[in-house]
Amino acid sequence: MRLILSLTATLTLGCAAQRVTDPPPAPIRLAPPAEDGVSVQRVDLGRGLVVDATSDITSKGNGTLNILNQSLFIYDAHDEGDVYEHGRLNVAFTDLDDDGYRDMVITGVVLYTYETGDDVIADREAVTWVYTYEPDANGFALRYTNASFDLADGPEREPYD
Amino acid sequence: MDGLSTPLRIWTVGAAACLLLAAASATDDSDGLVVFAGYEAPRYQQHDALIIRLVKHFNADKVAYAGADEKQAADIPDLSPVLVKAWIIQESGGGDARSRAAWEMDPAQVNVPGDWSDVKEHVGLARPSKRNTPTLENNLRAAIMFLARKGFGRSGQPASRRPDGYFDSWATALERYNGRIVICTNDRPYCDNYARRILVRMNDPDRHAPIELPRPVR
Repeated sequence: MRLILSLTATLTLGCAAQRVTDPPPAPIRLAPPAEDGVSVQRVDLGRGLVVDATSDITSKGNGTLNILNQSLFIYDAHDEGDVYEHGRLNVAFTDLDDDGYRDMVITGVVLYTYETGDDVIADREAVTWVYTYEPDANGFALRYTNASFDLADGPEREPYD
Repeated sequence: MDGLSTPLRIWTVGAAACLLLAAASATDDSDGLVVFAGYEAPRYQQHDALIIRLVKHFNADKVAYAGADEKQAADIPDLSPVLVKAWIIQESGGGDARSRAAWEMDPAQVNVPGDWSDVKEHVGLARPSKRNTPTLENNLRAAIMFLARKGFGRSGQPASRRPDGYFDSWATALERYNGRIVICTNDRPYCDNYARRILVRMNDPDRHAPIELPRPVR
């Protein structure tokens, strides 16, 4: 009887210890689509949850990333006074709150240009958004922003002279 | 053309000269425009009459189309309908479903939700919720207006908002209209390849100028 109890306790503790010490899912990055138009990538959010990340890029290099409940303007390669450096923002998925699910971190630099002239940058803005994955809602919730604009709309400033 | 590199300045001046020549020999006959090699299918000619009519309106009323004052408008060279035809083929002449749908209703792809900018309200557009609305004529007119305003600056705002602004060239306007700055596999910016290809098609209609451009390096 003592042995059975001991084994049960050991196994229970062992399982709990295993759960606690499970390494967090490794960070992953969203690769830029190879083509304009609509492309779908599969993103492993952890705990067996794999979701579609759909990029829809116009012929002018603008576009959105649609993932779960979010539609985010992360592609802007068309310089009409503002443009993302390298034409896009960087999207990474990493577990920030130790719940076993990868959260979403978006970073990049916006270049604000003058109306005319080549390669003249009037201003730069480093931007960051942090979204956590919320299992109950099966969606992402915005938790942190460091940007002058809403990522659903993209940058829009009054044109420079 | 402040800030342009010397080769680009030379190219831009040359392109402007070619545009003037093309404007002088715009049409093959009274009904249609020149047929470009590789684009002989009837669908590529279906907008010819509308292009001719809208370009005629543009050349007669540059103030309204460019949102320019009289002095600014006087410096805009006449627009060639052949340029417009070569341009919309570049935008929507492809064989994929999205291009074919655009060709029917928004061949210059000026009214795409993902490319919205508030200054487009000044060319008769309202923020669209889907592609290829509202009408072909409205979209092509708006596209010509927007292209002309791109000749004055990147944003496409009415030219008169910058009283000191001046029209650079149609070649520059094309670069800004599809102003992707990403570098392509031929080490040129996408916008440069885009404008050059349109001008090659326009200036040498008997030589096939493919729509496909060097790919961006991602």
